[in-house]
Amino acid sequence: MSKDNNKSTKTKAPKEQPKAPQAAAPKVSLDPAYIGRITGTLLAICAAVALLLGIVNYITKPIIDEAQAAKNAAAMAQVLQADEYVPLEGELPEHVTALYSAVSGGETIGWAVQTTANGSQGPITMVVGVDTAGAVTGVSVIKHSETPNIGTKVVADQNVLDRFVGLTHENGEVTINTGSNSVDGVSGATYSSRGVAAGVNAALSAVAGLS
Amino acid sequence: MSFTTLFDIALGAILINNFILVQFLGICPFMGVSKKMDTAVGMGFAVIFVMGLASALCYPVNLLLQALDLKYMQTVAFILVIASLVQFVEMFLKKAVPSLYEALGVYLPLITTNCAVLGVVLLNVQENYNFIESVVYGLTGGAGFLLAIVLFASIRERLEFSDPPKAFKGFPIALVTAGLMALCFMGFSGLQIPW
Amino acid sequence: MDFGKQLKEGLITQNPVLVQLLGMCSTLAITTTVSNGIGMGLSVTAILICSNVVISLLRKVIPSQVRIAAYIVVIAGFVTIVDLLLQAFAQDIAESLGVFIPLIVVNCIILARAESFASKNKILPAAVDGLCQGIGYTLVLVVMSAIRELVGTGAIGATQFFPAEYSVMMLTLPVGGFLTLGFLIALMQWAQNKAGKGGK
Repeated sequence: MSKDNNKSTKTKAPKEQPKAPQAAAPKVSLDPAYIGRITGTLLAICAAVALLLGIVNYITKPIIDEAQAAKNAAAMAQVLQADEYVPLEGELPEHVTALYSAVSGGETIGWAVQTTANGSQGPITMVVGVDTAGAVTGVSVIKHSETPNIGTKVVADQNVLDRFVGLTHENGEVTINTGSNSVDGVSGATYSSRGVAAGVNAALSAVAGLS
Repeated sequence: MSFTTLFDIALGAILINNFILVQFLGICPFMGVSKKMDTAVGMGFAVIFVMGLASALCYPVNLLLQALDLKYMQTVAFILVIASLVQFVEMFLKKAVPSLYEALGVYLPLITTNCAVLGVVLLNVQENYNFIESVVYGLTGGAGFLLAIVLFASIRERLEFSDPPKAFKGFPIALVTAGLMALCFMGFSGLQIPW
Repeated sequence: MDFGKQLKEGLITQNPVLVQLLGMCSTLAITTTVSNGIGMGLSVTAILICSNVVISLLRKVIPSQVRIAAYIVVIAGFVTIVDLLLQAFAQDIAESLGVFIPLIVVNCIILARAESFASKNKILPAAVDGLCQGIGYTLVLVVMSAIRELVGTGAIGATQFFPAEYSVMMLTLPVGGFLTLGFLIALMQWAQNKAGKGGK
């Protein structure tokens, strides 16, 4: 390993002060002024970095939040069109990261559930629309890290995601390829397909748990 | 959070999503320290210890940052915690177990720049693990590292006596070996707990 | 300060990945697509230049005892800045690079250059060194991800060069990463042996 940044592995025996705890680089003094100087310099650097980061964060945070919110809003509108989405308070079930009731004309026409489930390369975050009959109205993936051209054949292909439309929990949980309530997966992308199914199941369960 | 969840996390960290062979975290020491079995084992245990402790220490730090709405300071805070932790471990080992300290030599401070340590802390945040889950993930992630590095060292010790093409001597043949090991570990990817 | 010489070092003779064997975690993990490779390469180059400049500026002020901690703080600062900028202006790259953006902090290349070059040289040579090493790193990333994406999926980005049925999917998996890098380093070593034999 061609690295050479050892903090204190130069084993020179402490020559002077016997109370010096580190047998580090030559002549480590416990002189308070020296300790004060190095601590002070380190603190000054930390403070400068923290200040710079604070400024950059202040500038970029609104942009990041806005982009995220726009993405969420677009995803919700795509799965279940409604005039407004009211977030539901209270404790959220497992895998559910946000729960909105979709309101049109003063009436709740369904729910938009944001869930996260494990795909093949990490978590997949999606928005699942569920209508008042407990059926899926649409699935939109908003965040994933699936392998390009393998997992993305599921999470980035709306045709595949649309296979989940209309599914309910009447015949049990949604499964891939086999079972009474199954959806065709994509061959070679089973884990990604299962991840989406898990997210859909979490959404359907969450909505069932509301009523 | 039940025993099943913890077992799931452990199995994932050691086999299914092995830190080195699947997630690519910790490659530098994996390649650098695996020439001899004893250093590999020593490094593996040191990494388990540091990863577990780092997970434990960074959990409250993360809570503090979230409470103060300072999420952007995560990277800086975590790496400082890890660097200080490694420094203390070094000083402790020097006093308490000098033989291990001598054996690890320059590799001990290198744990600071081990992607696996910072990686496991960041993954704990990303997965929203609670304290116990974070520590378990840290310890078992280190165990996965130990497993991979011990297996690799045993092969590499034999590679010393083999005769690859001149261009492949050293790192390249070791990387090809690691690739074949990664291929084997792919077999675990379907492993799931049935209950 | 010889730009040509430093460039040659960064690209070939002291290539951070193929010769110095640093920064392998990110090289192996993110080189599944060319856009990832370019994104990561440019990010690391930017951080290299910035941190080299700052460390060179502060080289007489930072006490030797705590220099590693100081370098790490500076590097972590720039990594966070790049992270925030990517999240704000290039969300797709930020998402596909994932946890490996904050992991740039522990990318051995940056710390090694800070320790071996930036702390001992003036600002301009340090900046140029950061640039050259960064270019070398980016080049390796792009070549590796081009190989892995093209042979592994048959396409680069949106252009399909040959049908995906004939692609070697294994290359996009961790196995492929190890094998591709192994062969690239072997290629570099073969070239070095040949240059050595030719009495350079």
